[in-house]
Amino acid sequence: MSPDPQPWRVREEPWYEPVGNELALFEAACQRRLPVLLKGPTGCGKTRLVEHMAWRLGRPLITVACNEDLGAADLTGRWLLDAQGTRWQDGPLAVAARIGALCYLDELVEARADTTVVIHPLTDTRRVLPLAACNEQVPAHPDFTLVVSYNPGPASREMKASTRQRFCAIALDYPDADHEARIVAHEAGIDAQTAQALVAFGRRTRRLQGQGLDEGASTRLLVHAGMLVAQGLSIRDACRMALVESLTDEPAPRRALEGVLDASF
Amino acid sequence: MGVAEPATSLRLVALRTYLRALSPVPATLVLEAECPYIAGSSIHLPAARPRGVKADTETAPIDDGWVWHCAASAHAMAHLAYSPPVFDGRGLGPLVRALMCVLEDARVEVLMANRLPGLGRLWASLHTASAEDGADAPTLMLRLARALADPAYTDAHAWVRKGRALFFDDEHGRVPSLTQAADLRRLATRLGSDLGQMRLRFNAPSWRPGPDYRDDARWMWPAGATDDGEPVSAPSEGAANSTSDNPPPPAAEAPSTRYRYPEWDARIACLREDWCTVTELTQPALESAAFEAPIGVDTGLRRALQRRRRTGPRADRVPSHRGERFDPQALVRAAVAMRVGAPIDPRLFLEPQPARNALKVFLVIDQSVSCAQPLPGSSRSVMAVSCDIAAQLAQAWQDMGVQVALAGFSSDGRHAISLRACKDFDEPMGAPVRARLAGLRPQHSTRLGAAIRHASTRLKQQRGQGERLLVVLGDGEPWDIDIHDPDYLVADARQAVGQARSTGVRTACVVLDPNTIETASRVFGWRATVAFKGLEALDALARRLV
Repeated sequence: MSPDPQPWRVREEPWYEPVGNELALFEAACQRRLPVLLKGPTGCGKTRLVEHMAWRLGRPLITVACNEDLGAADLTGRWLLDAQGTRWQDGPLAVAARIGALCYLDELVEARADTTVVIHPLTDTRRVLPLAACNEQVPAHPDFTLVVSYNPGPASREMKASTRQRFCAIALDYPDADHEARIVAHEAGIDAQTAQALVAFGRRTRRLQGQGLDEGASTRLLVHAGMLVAQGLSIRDACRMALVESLTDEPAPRRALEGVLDASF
Repeated sequence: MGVAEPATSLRLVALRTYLRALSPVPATLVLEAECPYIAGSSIHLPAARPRGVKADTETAPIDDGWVWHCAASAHAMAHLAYSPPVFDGRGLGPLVRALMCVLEDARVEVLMANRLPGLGRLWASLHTASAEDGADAPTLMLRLARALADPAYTDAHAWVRKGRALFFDDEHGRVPSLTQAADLRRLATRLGSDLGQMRLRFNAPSWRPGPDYRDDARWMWPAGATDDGEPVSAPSEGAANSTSDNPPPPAAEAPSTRYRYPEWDARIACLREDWCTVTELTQPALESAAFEAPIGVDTGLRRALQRRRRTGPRADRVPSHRGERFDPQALVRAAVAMRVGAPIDPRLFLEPQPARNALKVFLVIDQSVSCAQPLPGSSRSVMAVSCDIAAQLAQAWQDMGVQVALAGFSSDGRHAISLRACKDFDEPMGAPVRARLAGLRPQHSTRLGAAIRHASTRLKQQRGQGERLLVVLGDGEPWDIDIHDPDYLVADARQAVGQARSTGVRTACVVLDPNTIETASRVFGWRATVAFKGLEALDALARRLV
């Protein structure tokens, strides 16, 4: 009664520009069935890396965005009531364990503490998912790999040691200026010079992390700005929309960013 | 200078953020000066653009001085990034030194504008000198400055054109030809001799680099290396120190209200009713614009407090349309409804709800004279560190929805106990609160029991359910001028703590001087007394407190 993996297959190659040797590291961990922890600031390419690796390894990919209300039942599944009575519905983690998919839990540390009850048995040598509500121990498919992301920024919670020590961690960061400009140019469809100017502005905002801004502009925001420029907006309007107004509402940092915008272009 | 208004501190925070984003070079910014100047890595600007300058009609009329501040701070930052720390002015006349100022100003601006083209346009827009203003030495220098800053400006005077041609390597005006101090000297000497041959007079003491957004260049010439030995303008270094230990006294205090409290006399084991008088005043803000407003809150502290809030005790499970378990009764009702054909209530599950305990904290700061002593191992007084801790904790707690009140207290006998309110429960944490905290002065003694009774009464008066916490910051050693028995006030304070606990107010004490921890723990109990180990360990402290 295994579910059909087709809906979760990655059909086209997601474009990914490696920053270091993270592709080889990821593949090595997957081949040995070791769970992977991706650390890095928001919008630096973690999700894109996972998509790319799922395509490369030919495995289905199931993604769950974790939040404060997410508990174990949201991952493993729950009983539902229908006309025939009660029936069990697998959650995303149970589906992934059954079909041998890559299960990507984005920002796991935000989820409720009871998720450790299901994460721990999956991530050690047991590789089994306990479904307490239906009294079943689901052995994980040989191709199943758990990937978790974590943003170690100032505004985030810390991951407990007992959880993080089960994972092999890859630290990602924003690429260096040239790399990042290439990524922005490719993803947004703009010329290299504009991309470099956008990246320079983005890097200036990153200096303000923890001192006026929670986080500086991510690569994703820079791509957004580039897309707006490609769409015909002036570079100032594009940056204001994608990089200033989306980063902060407080008057002092906003004014400062406007000033830096005026200074940069 | 005037009282630190919210607008000034907002401008200060915005400018500091602006500078930090422009350049990674560390710099501090102070908005209290007559004219812009640089001292070390500290940039000093006036709080507003100086009046009496010819206004440029091209600048935005609705600008409230922000653009001018950006130009001035960015220019100073350009010096910090690109200028050498000092120049050698020996053997140079005042005219040549002045020309070196002009050339160095232009050079660092060109280098900065190559990275940030918008700055180049901004600076160029603030130059207004032209041929109509005359051809005396200072005006020619202003015209030269404009020619160097604005590629679109052309000046007919031969000296200005010569200076521009020699300054740039390229015709577009992007690459300065001066790369070393010696080049600067040579060009300045050459241009200076040209001015001398034109028989133009130059009055050095009254000259200032222009336009007005540029600093006065006092940093270029170290004291003693100039021929006339006079700095360009008198520095006001005293105003540059923020919240030092000798600030001006605050203004007269606002009207107050008095309360009577009992006191515990251990000798007769009885409460003396209406024994003490506590006066509650509002603390006035410190009158100084040079106030250090921290931009970010300590992240470890915030994280520690968030952890405590989120892992609060779990309440009962409530019916919900999602959850892990079925609610058996709801299930039965749903099955019956299905058979009967009635609508089914979708709330079939039981979901745990996190408890919401609205914590209110009253942070009371000991203001006695013993707090004027420096903290062991530091140069700052216990009072100053207490205010820092209070401000940080209040900010972090406020971010999490905890309501905090701050007050300082001191006593001068049993009828003169003062509680100086710096922040009320529903007042947001901000610059006015910090200004009031900075105005707290060490004075008199510590009649701790009365302060605890008053603060816990205030806490109980707050509306709503939830925890109440009273934290005392200081050395926790009760003493007053009209008591001779050292144990009397300690026993009284202990009784006050017990009384507070019985009414539901938890107490804790943060002791800054580790030598006094024993007395404090006699009053508050070992578990509720925490020693302060430094601002870096504030998160561990916060965890113990809550």
